[in-house]
Amino acid sequence: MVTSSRRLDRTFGALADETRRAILARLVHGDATVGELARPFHVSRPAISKHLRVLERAGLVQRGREGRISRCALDAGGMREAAEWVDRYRAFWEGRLDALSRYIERRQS
Amino acid sequence: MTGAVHAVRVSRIIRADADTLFRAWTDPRELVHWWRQEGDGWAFASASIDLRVGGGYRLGMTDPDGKTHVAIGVYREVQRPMRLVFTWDWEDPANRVGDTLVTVEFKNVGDSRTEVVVTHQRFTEAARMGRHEQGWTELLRLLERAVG
Repeated sequence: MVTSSRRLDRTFGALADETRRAILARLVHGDATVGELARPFHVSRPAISKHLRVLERAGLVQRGREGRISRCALDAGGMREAAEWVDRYRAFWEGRLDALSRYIERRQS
Repeated sequence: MTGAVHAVRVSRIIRADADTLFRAWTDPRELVHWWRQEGDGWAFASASIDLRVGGGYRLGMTDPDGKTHVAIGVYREVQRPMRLVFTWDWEDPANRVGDTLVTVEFKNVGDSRTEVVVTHQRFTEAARMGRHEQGWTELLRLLERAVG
């Protein structure tokens, strides 16, 4: 429930940007080079690289090298943590709403 | 709040009017009653509420393992009986999650029923994320599946 984590802040901060979400959505379909990632966006390669650094720091993307070409792939770690946070709080608030519902029903009966 | 920028969104339709539900959520004497209903193992220990914009709250609770946690925050919006917005964090510095934002909406859906919608955002800058949002929670699911 209680997760202290700057990394989570970074992860969710990284997800807050539309271009970065689009990059991630592209990577769902497989690894890609920076050039391939830059193509569908109307931004420069350095701009894409900057987004990739943010995604990397957030634990959402991994970069590996093949010779001179750097390839990007999804990173399971950061994603799982972010999804866990969402799941945990969803369960928490579901529980609270169930409790409220029961309280109201009982009071009325 | 715009589009699908929500981290967590849950809702229930409850047979009561918005006034009743808003009071249940904001009056500490009522809050301690329902929060500690049996079920998911969370219990309420204490509540103090200063219900005004800029006012704070403290909610002490024990988790299913018996550990005590104190949730703290500040009210950002208080619109009786429709809407309540407050920041949410844990008091223990070791457990800080940073500024997260909870919105509780009470929507009259007719027939003396009210839909209660709780939205919990992980980051407060969500408001400036723009209107053309694709649901990033859905993206998260997609990504999670992709990485197995």
